[in-house]
Amino acid sequence: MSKTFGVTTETFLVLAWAARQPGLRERLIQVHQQSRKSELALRSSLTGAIPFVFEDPVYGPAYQGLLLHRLAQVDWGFACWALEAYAGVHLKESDDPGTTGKGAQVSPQAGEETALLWQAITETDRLVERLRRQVRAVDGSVFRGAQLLRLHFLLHLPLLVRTNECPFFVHEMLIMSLERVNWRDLAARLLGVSFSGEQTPEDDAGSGEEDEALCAATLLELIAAAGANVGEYVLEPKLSRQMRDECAELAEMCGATLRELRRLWELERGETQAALTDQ
Amino acid sequence: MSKHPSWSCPVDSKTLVILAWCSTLDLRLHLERKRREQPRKRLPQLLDEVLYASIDDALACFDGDPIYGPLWVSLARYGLASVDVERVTSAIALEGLIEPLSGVFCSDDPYVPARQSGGPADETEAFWQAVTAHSPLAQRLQRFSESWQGDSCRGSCELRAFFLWYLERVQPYLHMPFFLRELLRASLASVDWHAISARVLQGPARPACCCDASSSQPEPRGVQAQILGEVFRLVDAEIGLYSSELPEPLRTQALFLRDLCRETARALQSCVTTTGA
Repeated sequence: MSKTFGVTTETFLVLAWAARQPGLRERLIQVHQQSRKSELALRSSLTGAIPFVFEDPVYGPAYQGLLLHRLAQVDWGFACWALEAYAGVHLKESDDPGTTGKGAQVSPQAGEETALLWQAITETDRLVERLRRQVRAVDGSVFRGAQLLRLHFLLHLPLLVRTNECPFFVHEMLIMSLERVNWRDLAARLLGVSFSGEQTPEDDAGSGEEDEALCAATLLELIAAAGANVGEYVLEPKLSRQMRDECAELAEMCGATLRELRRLWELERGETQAALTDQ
Repeated sequence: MSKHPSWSCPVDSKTLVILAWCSTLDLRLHLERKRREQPRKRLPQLLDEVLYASIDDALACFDGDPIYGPLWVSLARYGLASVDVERVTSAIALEGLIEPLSGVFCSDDPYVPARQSGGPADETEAFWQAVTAHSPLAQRLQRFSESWQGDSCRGSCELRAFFLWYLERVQPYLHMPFFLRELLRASLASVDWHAISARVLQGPARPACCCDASSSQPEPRGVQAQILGEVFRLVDAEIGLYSSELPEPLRTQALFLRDLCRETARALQSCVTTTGA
């Protein structure tokens, strides 16, 4: 075979997923022979494999926008050719300098992901209020607000795509998109302050540090996730009544612990703020 | 712009999955670091080393699963043995650093490297080698077998369901890269569960039968309870990880929740034992 084409991560993820679907390759070859529309068949197979995780009214639109943006980068034709053994592919780096392999985390192209996420956030009142509250809670600092936002979206991801049926490319593409979001820009927008895009001394001092606020936020998200996970078993008919009761009790305790931790955290923060004001 | 190689190699879906995973790594950064460390070595050789090291790093995620981790490592290594890493790195271009030597395409008749002698012959042997080398795992399987009432068919059915389900559940907690999950799913699907359950029961291996272990039946109730118990143990460990650095009284609250997780896991276990669910 003489033809080979360079393709990026998005295409390789789709190709690898498609190669593992029983019967899909044979079907694509058949479609190609009959109508040369195997690209459409691959797209529809992939769309059909995405579970209904994006129906979540709060977070669904935000993640869906990011996933669709990544899927738009797939070279469908080359993926089909490599599946049908019509041409070979090799891995090339993306032209986007913000992608893995070329260093910088936040590139000018990160604007696309940031704009998409911002649009999705502002379209959901509950989400924008929730995030605004979180960002304001870390002393109005853009840098720390950005860290919290990043953590928030990364930790909600497994909650959303934890179903067994969720194909690996969904998770990987969402992670790719989240890595390209300019979180400081988003935090500044939520705080209603201007964002210069330049690194500040605060960034340098705080970068890489997991401070107490972030640690507490992580714990709260984890307990929320644990409560949701355990709660799924409460109505599981395959478990005995006794077991379901245990699950219900633990899920309830997760909720109570979450509320109590939030209360304590707010209290501590209030005390810290008061001490700072006194000084 | 990188050159396009003049030929392509037929590969299987495992190789494509590993290439897809490679594409998510910062290969440029790793390769440049390697080149600084070993300037005399050829870049393709260094890229092979980068990939081997990255795979080893990925396998380290199983350290977080003290009971089943060695089993996952054994099965993953067995799956990886059928992937030619050099074939993978040959299909990678890093502009200004390395040119691709060949492309890849999906094939029913892929190139598969010869297995090195001395390794397990198949997935069942890889599974059993991990069990015999790791006593906590052997004890856990022994405990499972208490509810089988000597029936190896029931055991094989429960083992198959347990490990497939547990793999899905444990993945996010271990931050398992997707290529390992795909390899393990393929390996678990090839394990002869009748042979494993017979060995756990220390009975003679039975010929293959048409019981649930070879089909996609819903998980038995006992299996769900076992999995739920494992989930609680994982949640307990995860909360412990993040709560240790918290100030009081936040930490006390978190410890309280950990205790509850443990108690619930214990209560579930006693439910399984007393009801034989």
